[in-house]
Amino acid sequence: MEEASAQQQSSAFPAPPFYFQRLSKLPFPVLALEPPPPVQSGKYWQFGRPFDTQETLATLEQQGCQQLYPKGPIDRVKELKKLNHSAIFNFLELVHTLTTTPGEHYKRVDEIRMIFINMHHILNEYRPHQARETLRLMMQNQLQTKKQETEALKRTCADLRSKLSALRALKEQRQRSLATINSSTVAPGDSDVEMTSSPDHQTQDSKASLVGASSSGYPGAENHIDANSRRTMDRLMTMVDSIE
Amino acid sequence: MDRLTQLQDAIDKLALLFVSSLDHLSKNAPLVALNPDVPVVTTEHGMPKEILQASAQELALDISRQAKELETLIENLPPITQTPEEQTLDLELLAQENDRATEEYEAAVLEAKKLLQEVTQALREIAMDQSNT
Repeated sequence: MEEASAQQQSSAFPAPPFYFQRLSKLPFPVLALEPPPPVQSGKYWQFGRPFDTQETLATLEQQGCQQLYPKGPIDRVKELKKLNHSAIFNFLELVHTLTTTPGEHYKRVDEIRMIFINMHHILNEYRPHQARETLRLMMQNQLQTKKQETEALKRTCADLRSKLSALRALKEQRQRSLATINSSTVAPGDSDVEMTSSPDHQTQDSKASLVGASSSGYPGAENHIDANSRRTMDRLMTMVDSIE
Repeated sequence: MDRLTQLQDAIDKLALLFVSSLDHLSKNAPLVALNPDVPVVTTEHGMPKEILQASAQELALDISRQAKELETLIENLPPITQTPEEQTLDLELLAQENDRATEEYEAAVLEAKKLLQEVTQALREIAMDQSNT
């Protein structure tokens, strides 16, 4: 400890917190080194002031003020109106006492003060209810947006799937027509390999080979295949646009 | 703005009106002779009686107007329909529903991503083959 204080006097840096003393004896008391657990219930003290773990609005008696409205469940609107009227009435009486016996004004002033404190207290009792209501409304909104989004996503997915399957059916059709064309014409060797290997590929590859076959020069079927591939391309582009 | 805050502000305004009206009247009142033998010497203190009475009238009107406003605000307060326990129950149910909706939403997003991958794959292969030929 003397080292620490000497260091503080000679250097500009503060000493380390004195927890280092706990590490000075071996074996290290590990459990004692754990930070204290957070307070679960009741009162706790922080920086010299008391705090509650459960925040509740203190009643008027606890705050040291007289409660002017009756205890228990009350009609808030009626009580507030009554307090409003008595505030004005007391102000009138205050003005009267100021004109007659100014020395006695403090009684009226205290009355008015009590009335205002009561009014504010009634309003403060609304606040927790309002907070929970707001939370409930926010959660309902969130739920609704989520459901809407899920619906929209599902609809677009179903749309796309139907379009994809339609395209695949179209492709199968083209494949079959190409196969018949292939068997009816005498084609050069390598294009034969190209066409016979295509049914083994994935459906996307066969789509691609469709397009490839159009430019490899099949005489009679060329224009027919070209138009179909162009339509396929158009449909696929619109599909991708609708996803994005 | 929030109704409770409006109410609280209106109450505070009423109190302020009380204070400011009394202040105004006591500061600007002209001098009066306490003893008939000692007459009032200066007339330069405060405002003449008529003007002061007119301002007192105005202040009274302001106060009564503010009190009326307060009453209308009080009438427009929404009632408390649920006890705190009912409210917490509602909140718990809503939280559970929210969790379920989030799960469904995430599943839908996953499916959409997969579909997007398939379609982009298809387009890519077509484009590749078209560029090849």
